Amino acid sequence: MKLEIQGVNKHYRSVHAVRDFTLDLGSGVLGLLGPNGAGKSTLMRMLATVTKPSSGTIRLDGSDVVASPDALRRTLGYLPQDFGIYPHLSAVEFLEYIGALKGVPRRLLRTRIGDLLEALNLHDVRSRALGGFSGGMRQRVGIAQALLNDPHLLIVDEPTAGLDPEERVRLRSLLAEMASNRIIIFSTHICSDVESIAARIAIVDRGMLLAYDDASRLARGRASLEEAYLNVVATARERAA
Amino acid sequence: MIDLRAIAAVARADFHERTRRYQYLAAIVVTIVAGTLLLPGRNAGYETFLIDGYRGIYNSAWTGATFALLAALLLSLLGFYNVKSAVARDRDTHTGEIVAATPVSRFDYAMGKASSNFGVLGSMAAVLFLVAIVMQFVRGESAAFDLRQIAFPFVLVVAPALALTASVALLFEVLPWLRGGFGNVVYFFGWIAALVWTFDGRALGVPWWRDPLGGNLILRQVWSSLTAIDPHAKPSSIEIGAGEAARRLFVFHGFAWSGADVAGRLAWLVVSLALVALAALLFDRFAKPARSAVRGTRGDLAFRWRIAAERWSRPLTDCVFRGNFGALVLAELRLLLGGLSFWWYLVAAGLFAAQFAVDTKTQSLVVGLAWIWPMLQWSQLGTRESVFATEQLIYPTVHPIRRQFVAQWLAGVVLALATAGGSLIHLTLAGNHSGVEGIVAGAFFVPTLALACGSLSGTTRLFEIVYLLLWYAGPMNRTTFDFTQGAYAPGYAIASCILFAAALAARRVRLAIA
Repeated sequence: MKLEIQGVNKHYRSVHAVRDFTLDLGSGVLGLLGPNGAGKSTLMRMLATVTKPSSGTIRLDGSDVVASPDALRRTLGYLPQDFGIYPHLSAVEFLEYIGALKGVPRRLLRTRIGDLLEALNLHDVRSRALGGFSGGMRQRVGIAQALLNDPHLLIVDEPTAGLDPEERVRLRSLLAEMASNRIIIFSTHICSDVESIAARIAIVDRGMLLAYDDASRLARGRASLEEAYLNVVATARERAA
Repeated sequence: MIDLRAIAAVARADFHERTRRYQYLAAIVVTIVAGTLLLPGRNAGYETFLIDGYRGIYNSAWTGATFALLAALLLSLLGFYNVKSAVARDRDTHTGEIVAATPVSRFDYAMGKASSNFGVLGSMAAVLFLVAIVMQFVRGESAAFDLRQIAFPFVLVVAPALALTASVALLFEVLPWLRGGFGNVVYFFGWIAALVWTFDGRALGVPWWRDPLGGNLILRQVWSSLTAIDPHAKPSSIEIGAGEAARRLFVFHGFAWSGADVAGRLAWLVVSLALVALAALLFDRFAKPARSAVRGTRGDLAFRWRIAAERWSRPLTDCVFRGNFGALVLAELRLLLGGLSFWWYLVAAGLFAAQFAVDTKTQSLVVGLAWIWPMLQWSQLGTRESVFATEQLIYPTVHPIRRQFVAQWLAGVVLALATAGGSLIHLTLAGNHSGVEGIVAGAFFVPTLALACGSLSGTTRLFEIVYLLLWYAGPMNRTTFDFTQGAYAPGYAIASCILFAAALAARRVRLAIA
């Protein structure tokens, strides 16, 4: 699989949210690091075909995602940063709903929902109304819906928000297991979330790609990836100033 | 290609989400109670449907005609406000972003949402249908029961009217400028205009395209049956919701549906489908980011509220700890008016000036106009905390009821007094004390009504529809509902006290469960 992002820009009136973003991705986990407001979520929304770039192209295995988004949508898993649920539906009902929209065959969907609820430790509460779920449980439902169609491209925006340490580890393991034959874009501003599982790290600030490399190479000469990340962002801001 | 499974999934999830709420249960209870009132007893002192003083005896045909006519009218108005939230829910909760990233087509999504709208409205119509059957036996004027005479008007008149309502609600939701409170006002006046266009003061037939709700179809058949008994009966005297008892009774033998009648009603189903297709075409598929992500979408009312809420947080904190209640009221007023454009103030100023220009007899009308203008500001009262999920921030402040809640209410009162200020000065100078009392009572009543509706429902819509109905019946038509008249001031003062108590109770409950 190959995802090519070429010269992508996104404007919202006077705000230039993403600037001339270019990146080629293959299978594996990409850690997208950046401070709040860096443009990560806007980039994710464009990659997930929710919104269109103001300019530039996004291609998946050669086909233009912006012009024909439906082909990607069939194989896409997307967990937005802020997402809501229907509080009066149960976890199973909500997942059945999203599964039907994704076109997952009915029989396969049932099995898939069962497996995901088990893997994400939600099986015992599968029939309970989502309105009564804790933040972490809701987040896991969000992760489950993203994985329903066994996506080739998985985009997760701050997926560890609200998860306890045990659940974070469980999620990281799950994503690492899946990474061999698909592209996973993992956006976060917490370096430890991606340090262990991301093959490559992209650092973004003010809509621009500042660095793109292996985690180990980025952290070379620094105490940690976090320090390297802070240094890259600070240097770019100094230059801009 | 149309994906029926996707349509069904959207419709089912949305329908379940709505019908499992307590508000839906409350709506069903209200529907049942309202249904029992549609067929009043002989000593009730009112009638729901008269033609030239005639009322049909309560057989199945008349029961079906009355219930179908009133169900089509009531559900097309009140039901619209009830169901106009299907897309908004997905937009506000960000579920829409997940939906947008799936292969579901715009039409399938729109069709699913419209089907859910229709399902909710249809369930209320089904309740009315069952109540109609029960009420025929309860009133006992005719023992002959014919299910078809009750069922057919529901199927041929009510169902297409509800399909139209469902699709118009969806269309309003996908158009940014009709999405919020302004759309609610537009629909209200559109609905009134449609009724005037349909009935035109006569029970004579109009072509199908002038009868979207099917009301004229019913009236025409009833009148045709009546003229067989009394050739002098006037088709111009139709009363829906009459305040007096029927002078005469007659037997309505039922509907005779012609092929053209049925085709005309089916045509409205096609129109509804076309409106769904149009909504799908205009639907942005949640491409615009959530309201918190982008600044500067001035047309988005919800976004402006959010900005206002952000502005509000600073002065509120200061006021609470300094104990300056006046500053808190001022902060609430600032929040109430936050984000309004220059043009809003210009129109308000024009209405203010007009209050000096007209004579004292026309003051009620001008004040009425001046008080429809800030309706969307008042509708925020009592709802902001739930709309912006700021309960957890507001409720732990010092004396959230005694200070913040009262300050919010007073800000609404100040706005009412300010917008009717021209009349207050004019009437005071003219020595018209009764007029002044009327406006002052109204200035307390309207924001109190808003606060009560907002606190009880947690949404702006309840106030918007109740107030529009009251405003239309009152200041615009000068009935006893005119809350600007001095003669009714004591009644509206008492009503304000009751509403304030209700609002207070609702806020206390919210505080307790927060």
